[in-house]
Order: sequence, then structure tokens, then C-alpha cells
Amino acid sequence: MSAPSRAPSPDAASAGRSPFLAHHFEDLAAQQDTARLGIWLFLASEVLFFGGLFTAYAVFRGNHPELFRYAHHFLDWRLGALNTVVLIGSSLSAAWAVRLAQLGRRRGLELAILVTIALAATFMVVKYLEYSHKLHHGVGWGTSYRPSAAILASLPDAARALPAPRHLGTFFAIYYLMTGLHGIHVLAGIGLFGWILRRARAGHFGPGYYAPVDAVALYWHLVDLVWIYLFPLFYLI
Amino acid sequence: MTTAAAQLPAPERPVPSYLEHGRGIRSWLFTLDHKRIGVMYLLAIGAALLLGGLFAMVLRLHLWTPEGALVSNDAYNKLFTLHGAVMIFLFIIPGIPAALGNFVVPLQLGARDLAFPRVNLLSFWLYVVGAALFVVTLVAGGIDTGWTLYPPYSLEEARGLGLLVALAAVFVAGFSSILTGLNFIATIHKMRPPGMGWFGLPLFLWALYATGIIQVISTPVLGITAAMGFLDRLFHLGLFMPEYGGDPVLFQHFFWFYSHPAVYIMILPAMGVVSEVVSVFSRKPIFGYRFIALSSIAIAVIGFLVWGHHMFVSGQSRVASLVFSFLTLLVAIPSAIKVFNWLATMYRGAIVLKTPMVYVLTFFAIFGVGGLTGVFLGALATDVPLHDTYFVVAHFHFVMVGAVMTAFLAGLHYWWPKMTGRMYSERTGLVSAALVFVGFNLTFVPQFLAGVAGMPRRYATYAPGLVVHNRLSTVGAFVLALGLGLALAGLLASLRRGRRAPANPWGASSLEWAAPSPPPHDNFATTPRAPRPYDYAGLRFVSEEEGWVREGTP
Amino acid sequence: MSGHLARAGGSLAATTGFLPARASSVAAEVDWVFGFVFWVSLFFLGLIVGLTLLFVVRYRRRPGRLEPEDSPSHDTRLELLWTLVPLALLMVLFGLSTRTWLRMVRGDGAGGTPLEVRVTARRWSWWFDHPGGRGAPELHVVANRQAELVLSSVDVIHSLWVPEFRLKQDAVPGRFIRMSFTPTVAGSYPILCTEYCGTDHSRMLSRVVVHPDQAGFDAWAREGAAPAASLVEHGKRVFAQRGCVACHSLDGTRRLGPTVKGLWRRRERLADGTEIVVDDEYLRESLVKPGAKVVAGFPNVMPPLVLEERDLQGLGAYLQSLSERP
Ligand code: HEA
Ligand code: HEA
Ligand code: HEC
Ligand code: CUA
Ligand SMILES: [Cu+2]
Repeated sequence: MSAPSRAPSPDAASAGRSPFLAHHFEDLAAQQDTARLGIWLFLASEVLFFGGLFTAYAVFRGNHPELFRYAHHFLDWRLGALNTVVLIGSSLSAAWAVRLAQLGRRRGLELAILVTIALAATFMVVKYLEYSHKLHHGVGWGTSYRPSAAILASLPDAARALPAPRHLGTFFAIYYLMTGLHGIHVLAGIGLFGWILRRARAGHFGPGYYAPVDAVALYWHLVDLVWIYLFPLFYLI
Repeated sequence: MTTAAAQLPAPERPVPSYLEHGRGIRSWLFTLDHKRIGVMYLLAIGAALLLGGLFAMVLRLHLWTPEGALVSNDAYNKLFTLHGAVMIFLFIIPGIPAALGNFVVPLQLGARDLAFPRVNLLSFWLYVVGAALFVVTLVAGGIDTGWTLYPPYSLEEARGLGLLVALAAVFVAGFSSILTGLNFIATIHKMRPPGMGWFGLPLFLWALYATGIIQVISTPVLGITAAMGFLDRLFHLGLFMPEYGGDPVLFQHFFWFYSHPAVYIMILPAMGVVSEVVSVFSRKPIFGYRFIALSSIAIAVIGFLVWGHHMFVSGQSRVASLVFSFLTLLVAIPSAIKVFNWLATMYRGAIVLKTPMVYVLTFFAIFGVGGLTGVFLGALATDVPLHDTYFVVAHFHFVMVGAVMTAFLAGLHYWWPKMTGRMYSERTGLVSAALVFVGFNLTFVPQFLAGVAGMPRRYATYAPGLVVHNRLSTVGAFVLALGLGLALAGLLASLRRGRRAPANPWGASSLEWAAPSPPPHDNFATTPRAPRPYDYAGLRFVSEEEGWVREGTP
Repeated sequence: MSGHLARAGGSLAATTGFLPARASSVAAEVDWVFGFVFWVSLFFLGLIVGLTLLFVVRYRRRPGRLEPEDSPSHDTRLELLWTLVPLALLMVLFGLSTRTWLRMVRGDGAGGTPLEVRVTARRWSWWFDHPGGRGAPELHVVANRQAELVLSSVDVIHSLWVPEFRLKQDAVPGRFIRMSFTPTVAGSYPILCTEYCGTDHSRMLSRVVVHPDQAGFDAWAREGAAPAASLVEHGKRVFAQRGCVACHSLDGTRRLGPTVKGLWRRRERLADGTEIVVDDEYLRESLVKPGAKVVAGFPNVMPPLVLEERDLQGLGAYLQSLSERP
């Protein structure tokens, strides 16, 4: 109960503690448990973060339904659907990575993470193509919405028959804001999986310690979930 | 008796205190120790209070004459905006949780640190970056939008660069707050010592838990609103500006969806402090523990559903106004429960009139007035004439200055011996508490009268008939500043001249008092067993030097 | 400007007690609710302060009284008491306040057809377009006849407050918001802007003149009123110039769009099946974002209009006037 019994810094070798056990926890199980709660709380605040934008979407759609009905013709639902499939696939491989980490299968884990990263990158490439096509044709947000004749001509007949509603830029503002914030999250996810990959290579994870893999995968599921809402809201209805 | 008791001070402590553990500025700036982070927060928040207070004093001086005594209208508008923004975002929201909470939470849990020490440090640095951005705003010409930032006014081109910086500051400071709340929730959930169930928590922790919920859930909405405002202003997105097809009232909904719950981010921790102090200084267990604990949660939950009471005359739908008014009146109930339970705690107690307790006694009266005037504003018929007058200004200063800042001072004096290892001067403490109480009332009671008589807020000039109200208020503000200055001087003086503090100077039963004053880096050598909450039976006063000791301790 | 200040101050000086004088049909009722909350609050404040002082005096720790006496650590019945009594009082308050508030926002219909005034707020002045065509920087109304203001703003949000009427309403750019009241005491009262609007927010003052009777108002409205300045005339001109007649007939015949004859207060079925009554808010919406609510049986082809605030106000007044003349 005096000075020597304190272990101020987790000295793995001498104290027999895991190198990943922080000084203020008794054991890894408690630590991982806490980390999990932490990540759930973080996700709750993320949901509210996106929630603000979803509310904006709902309010503007309520006020100007004509905007939304007209403008969604600018979006190519096939690309959106492709991206949906890609993201769901990546969510699967992320879940698979957690399982493999728990089982301590290092090679499998590395592979699963690589697959996830590759799918996430695919998503971003498709997104890049969509964005650059629109921006090239002057479909910007807010007052920078100045569509080219070419893109207007490419709209389906149903849309071309209607006069263009005013303030189409507002639709695209919401579109870019929501998909952009989502895209930033995908990029962050790629970074996080990169970090997990490095640690997996170093052999950090195993049945006793896999909290970081778990946390990043949970985060990734949220990113996936948000997209599953975005896709129909913008591309389909 | 308990393992914790074995920790009580030996005259020569073998372990250095957290203040001595590591030297040099870097050992502070990059520390993961919750206690040091708490102390750094305390310094930062004190600086914010001084800055915000300085703006307030200039405001009050300007209002000495009806045509404005000191500055131009534009300068006045900047002053109250910066005063409000600094006080809210940099002083009162981080206030009790980040400064006192950071220090106390792990100690009360018998833990060595918060669940996520790195996140804690990150949150501190985000706060510093946010605060620095506010200073940049000042340099960039200030902002004159009011702290509520209503568009279209706020998002006009003419507001300049300052507004963009301010929105960025709000965004960053918001993340700091989210991370603090997240950390507290996780810590209180997962790091309770053996023997401490949910209803064994000190009520300060219940309060911070409820606060954490609000922080995690409402602050992101502020963040996204700031981001939307930022981009709308830069690119004319047409979200909030009617000129480009946007809806300015939508912004108000977003803003108050955060900023109403935020007032409970301010008051709940204050209520937590009051619960601790009133019990310890009445030497009696808190009355109605469960009602107090659960009413914190009730306030947090209902508090999310009342934001529209700031918009009764904005043109929102009548049905919305009715619902918001109803829920607003409901939210007064949990506060009522707390007030009466505190009073009942004092009944038949053995009340010790030390500085923290005196602050708490003034809290009762002031929070009573502040809360009850909130009821005037929650009722539709009376809010319509009172909205945006000095009645509202007085209401929120009563709850924020008179109640929250008073509770902050109570908590600061209460935990000061634990943080610094020194006893402050009781006499200075009591005199300053009296000055603060008198000065406060002199400042803000006349504002109620001015508001009722017809003085709108955010007025750089006013009707000559109101000059008496305003002069009283200005004089009061100086008495208040004097009181605060004295309190500050007393605390600082104690660092050099104060008597050494024993581990448990007040005879409190929660675990932070089982650690030495000031505690060592690791707080506790082994996890202590939790005592029953507010159990004073086994505590015995030994001497001023040794404080209170649990019976049966060797 | 300081003239306005002096007037505002003068009316305050004339105040008895601490509330401003009462000059509208709801003022007394509002003050009654205020009084109710006030006395309830005073009671509770007295209780809190009284008990605090009593306990501190009686139970102070002092020689001979070092330990607390035995007393329960909770008492569910007592706690329910101080939960339910405030709850009951607050529900009573909600009822009283709501009743009064509904009267405040609905108006009482006194004195026949309301006197409708279109209000345009701008930094930092008010403009009031009265019936009969007279516009003025001051508001003129008639005692004991309901007045109805239609508020809009050309720049930022402002708010119109007459303390003596106990009424206040924001003027939001991009919207028309209605406000009704019945002044009861002839005289002149200050109008203050209570939504922060920039530099001269505190000087955005005006006044409302309550004429003792209709004749007084009419006399004022006639003097110096140039018919061309009338809002309805202005609206008529805009209607013609902007080519609205191309699609909207004035005589009830159906063209590309619905006729505007009898439009005001008409029940309209919309394409999505809902039904609405035509009012300012709807009119404005139809002009600014015609696609939002499409009338059933018509194509959604009306072009959105970029109109000056005054043109919108004019069109609103004009379209309304079409239904008032039999
Ligand atoms: C710490 C901060 C804090 C707290 C705790 C509160 C608490 C409350 N506030 Fe306040 N409020 C603010 C900070 C706060 N407020 C701020 C900053 C603003 C203005 C923002 C701006 O515009 O700049 C504001 C504005 C504000 C408005 C908008 C006014 C307007 O702009 O028109 C309203 C309206 O409903 C309101 C109501 C309430 C109510 C009902 C409570 C309740 O929670 C109070 C409950 C407490 C009690 C009622 C007292 C104890 C109870 C009893 C003793 C029991 C007996 C009681 C009865 C039977 C009635 N507040
Ligand atoms: C926590 C929040 C907080 C705090 C503590 C305060 C504290 C004070 N406030 Fe403020 N106030 C707000 C939040 C706060 N305020 C908000 C949100 C607004 C609305 C803004 C808006 O409309 O946008 C507002 C608006 C506001 C107005 C209305 C302006 C207007 O509408 O035109 C006024 C006017 O009197 C005022 C006065 C004061 C005074 C005199 C103090 C005093 O209590 C300050 C006392 C403190 C100090 C002086 C510093 C400490 C002093 C020392 C350590 C001593 C040394 C210093 C000296 C001797 C000078 N405040
Ligand atoms: C190209 C034809 C066209 C022009 C030009 C036009 N409108 Fe319309 N307007 C319509 C149609 C079609 C509708 C019905 C569909 C709808 O509600 O959007 C309509 C609806 C309206 C309504 C709602 C009527 C109701 O019965 O609810 C108002 C008011 C109105 N228009 C006013 C105007 C004004 C004022 C102008 C000129 C400044 C104008 N319109 C110019 C075609 C037109
Ligand atoms: Cu107009 Cu304030
Ligand atoms: Cu509120």
C-alpha cells in the first residue's frame, strides 16, 4: 500500500501488464468495455451531426417539393446504386475483420482490412466522377448553380417538360453538404483503416485485444448507414 | 476501516503530489493527468470571465446616460455580442464541468483518471484553439450580431471576416464540449469503484452525467449549424438567407435546439455542486437522494423539447408555440423538486456557515428568482410583452451569474483545499460572498423593472425615463466586480499564505476527501471501497491541522 | 430622432406603478396573468428565503449543537407534495395564459371590418400603408376598431412592439406575418424595434396614433394623400406590367391559371389533395415560389417572380381589393 505497489506507468515486462493497458484501468477487459461505450457515444453525437442536415433536407423538401422532384434528375441513380453496393460490401468486410481479429488470424485480418480500404476508395472514385461531371457542367451549389446547355439537354423528357424551379442551387447546396460531409467521413475511415492495418501488421491484435478494430468497424457501419439513407433521399425520390 | 481510509495523510508523504509530479511547462501543457488539465481549464476559464467581465463593465458604463456615454452604437453592439459569446462559449459552458468536474470526477470515483485521458487533453486543446479564434475575431474587427447570430443580419456580406472566424470558433469549442461530456459519461458508467451502484454516486456525478447527455446530443447540432452558416455566408447556398431562397427562422430553430439545452449544461453542474455543499455543511445526508438524481435526468430530457419558447413572436405556428409553452412550464417541476429537497436537507441539520455554504445560501434565493421569472417567460401571454426586453436580460443573468457563477464560486472554494493544498482565508471569502450578493442584486433587480417598464435589450440608447434604473445597475456592476476581485485576491493570497489543508477539511464523505490534499499523480494507490453516500456518521473532527478522520482509522 | 426618444420617455414617465399604461383590449387581461404569476412567484420566493433564514438561524452549528438532530433522509409523501402543488399551479397558469394569448393573437373583431395596415420594416425605419392609400412613417389606427397589421421586412428581421398594447411581433424578410389588436384609449404611444437589427436598432422608433373615432382617422387619411401613392394602385400597375393578365383573368374566365376574381379568402383545393384558404402567406408563396402549392387542375407552369418587396405588398393589397369590391 505504499509507493512501490503503485505502477505509475504501465511497464509491460515487469508488471506483467499488457502494453496496451492504460495506467488507470485494472485490466484489458474493463478498458475495452469502456472504449466501446466511448465509441457508441461518439456515434450518437455523429448521428445528431448528420441529423441537423437531415432536418434541413426535410424542411426544404417540405417547403419546395418541386425543387427536389426536378433536381433529382441530375443525379444518376445507377452510380448511386453502385456506390451503395460498394459500401455495403465494405461494411461486411469490416465486420469480417473484427471477427478475424478476435480469432487472432493475422493474415486474414490484413486481407479484410485491405478489401475494406479498396472498396472505400472505389466509393470515393465514383463520387469524384459524379462531382467532377456536375461541376464541369456548372451544377454547383447555391448561387454558383449555372447549368450548361449540355447537361440540361441530357435530362429525361419528364424533367425537360417542366420549367426549371427557382433556387435549384439550394437543392444542390444540401446535396453537396450531405454527400460531402459523408465523403469526408469515408476519407477519415480510410485513414483509420490504414492505421489499423499498420497495427495489425505489427501483430497488436488478438483474442485479448482488438478494441481499435472494433471501434473503427463500428464507425464504418455508421458511415455505411448514413449512405443508405442518402441514396434514396437524393437519387430516387 | 475501508482501504481508502488507510490513505489518510501521514505527516511526511512519501509520494509527491500531482503538482510536483513532473516539472516544467511541457509537463503541464501535454499532461494526461485529469487534475492538471482541470487546473489549466480553471486558468483559461478565469481569463475568459475576466475578459467577458471587462466587456460588461464597459457596457454598463456606456449606459450611464440615455444617449450613451462612452462609445458609438456600432461599438456597443460589438461589446454585448462579444460579452455574451465569451461568457457563454468560453466561460459558463465549460465552466463547472471542465474545470471543477475534470478535477473531481475521477477522485469521487476512487479512480486514477478519466476513461479517456488523451481525449481529455484533446478537448482542452480544442477549447484553447476555439478561444484563440475568438481573440482573432476581436482583432479582425469584432462581430456585432448578438450571441444568437440570427440571419439574415449575421450572414450579410457587411459583417466581414470576423463572423466567419467566430463561427469557426463556435464549431471548435463545440467539439471540446462534446468530448468532455462523452468522457464523463463513459467514466461514470464504467469506472465506479466496488460498492458504488448508481444510487451510490455523489449527486455531483449524477448532475455531470445528465450534463454529458445534453452535451453529446445537442452540441453536434450547434456544430452543423455553424458549418452551414459558414458555408452559406461564403457561397450563398440559400439555406438561411431569404434573398437566395433560404429560411431565416430555420436557423433560429437550429440555434435554440442547441442553445436551450445548453442552459441546462450550465445549471445542472451548478445544481450538482449545491447538492454536495448543502449536505456537507448541514452535516446531514442529502434529503430525497433519488428525487434529486432523477430530476437531473428529467431536466436533461424535457430540456430538449422546449427550445421554441425563444421564438414565441418569431411567427412560428401557434400550435408549436402552445406545445413549447406547455413543456416549458413542465420543466420547472424538476427544479422545484431540487430546491425543496435542498431546503429539507438543512432542516434540523448542524449548519456551518463557511464560504461555500454562504454562496449556496445566496444561490437558493437567486435561483428562485431566476427560475420563477423563467416561468413568466414560459407563459405565452406574459412572454409576448416581455420578450427581448431587459426582463429577459435580468432573467438570464439571475440564472447564469447569480446561480451558476455563484455555484461555481461555491465549488471553487469547496475544492480549493483539495486542488492547491491550501486553506483560503475564511474572512475574505465571507466578505466577498456578501459583496457579490449585494452587487449582483443591485445590478440586475433594476433590470427587471426596466424591462417591464419598456426597455428593449441590445439598445445602445434608451428613453430618458429609464436613467435611474440604468445608473443603479451600473453602480451594482461595480460592487459585483469588487466582490469578485476580492474573492480572486483571497484565493490567490492563500497560495502563498494559506494554512496547509488537511485531507478532509470539511468532514465530507465522498472519496475525493480520502485522497491527500493535494492528491498524488495516481490519486489512490489501490482502488478504495466506496462509502455510503452522504454518510457522516463515522467522521470525527480531530484538529484544524488534521481535519476530519473516519473513526477506526489507525 | 431624439424627439422620438423624448416621446417614448414621456409615455414612460406618465406610467403609474411599474407596468406601462394599458391601451389595448388585451392589456388588462395580460396584466392579470402577469399578476397571477407574480404573486405565485412571490409566495414561493418568500417560502424559499423564509425557510433558508429560519433554518440557518435555528440550526446553525454552535457550541452545544455540534451534531444534527435525527430526521428522515427522504419522505416520498412530502416530495410528492412539492412536486404536485407546483405542477397544479403551473397547469392553471398554462390555462390562463393560453386563453389570454389566443385572444391576443386572434383579435376580437371589434368595430366591424378590421382596419388593415401593411407594414414594411427596413433599417432603421417603419413604413405603414394605410387603407385609402395613405402611407406614413407612423401608424394610425382607430380606438375600439380592430387593427390588423401585415408585417414584412425588406432586409433583416425587425420586431414591432407597443408596450402599452402588450403586443409584439417579428417582421421577417420573405414572409407576411399578421398581427391583430384593438386599441382602446386614444392617444399616441411609442413603437420600438425589439429584434436586433444593427447600428441604429435602438433608434428604430416610431409611434402609433390612436384616433378617437373613424372620422378622425378618415380626415387624417385624406389630407395630402396622392392617389397614385396608394398601394392598391401600385399593385394594379405591377399586375399589368408583369403580364399576369396573360394567365389570370380578372372577370372569372379560365385561362392558363386560375382567375384572380374572388381570390381572397377563396377555398382552394391543391394538387396534393389538401385544401387551403387564400391568405397573405399563401399569396406571397404563390408569387415567390409558385411550385410549392399547386392549385388542383392547373399545370405547375407559373414562373417565379423576382419582385421588390413593395411590389409584393402592392400585389397582395391589389388582389385582396379585387374581392372586397362587390
Ligand atoms: C443557466 C441558464 C438558464 C436556466 C437554468 C434557465 C431556466 C429557465 N428559463 Fe431561461 N434563459 C436563459 C438561461 C437560463 N434559463 C438564457 C441565456 C436566455 C436568453 C437567451 C437570449 O435570448 O439571449 C433565457 C431565456 C428564456 C426564455 C425566452 C425569453 C424570451 O426571449 O422571450 C424563456 C421562455 O420560456 C425561458 C424560460 C426558462 C424556464 C421556464 C426555466 C426553468 O428551467 C426554471 C425552473 C426553476 C424554477 C421555476 C424555480 C424553482 C421552482 C420553484 C421554487 C417551484 C415553484 C414554482 C412554481 C409553482 C412556478 N428562459
Ligand atoms: C455566463 C454568462 C454571463 C455572465 C457571467 C455575465 C455577466 C455580466 N453581464 Fe451579461 N450577458 C450574457 C451573459 C453573461 N453576462 C449574455 C449571453 C448576454 C446577451 C448578449 C446578447 O444580447 O447577445 C448578456 C448581456 C448583458 C447585458 C445586456 C446588453 C444589452 O442587451 O444591451 C448587460 C447589461 O447590463 C450585461 C451585464 C453584465 C454584467 C454587469 C455582468 C457581471 O456579472 C460581470 C462581472 C464580472 C466581472 C467584472 C469580471 C470579474 C471581475 C474581477 C475578477 C474583478 C476585477 C475587474 C474589475 C474591477 C473591472 N450583460
Ligand atoms: C405562364 C402563366 C402565368 C403567368 C404569367 C402568371 N401566372 Fe399565376 N398562376 C399560373 C398557374 C398555371 C397557376 C396555378 C398553379 C399554381 O398554383 O402554381 C397560377 C397561380 C397563381 C396564384 C394562386 C391562385 C390560386 O387560385 O390559388 C396567384 C395568386 C398568382 N398565380 C398570381 C400571379 C401574378 C400576380 C402574376 C404576375 C405577376 C402571375 N400569377 C403570372 C400561371 C401564370
Ligand atoms: Cu429594427 Cu431592431
Ligand atoms: Cu430556453
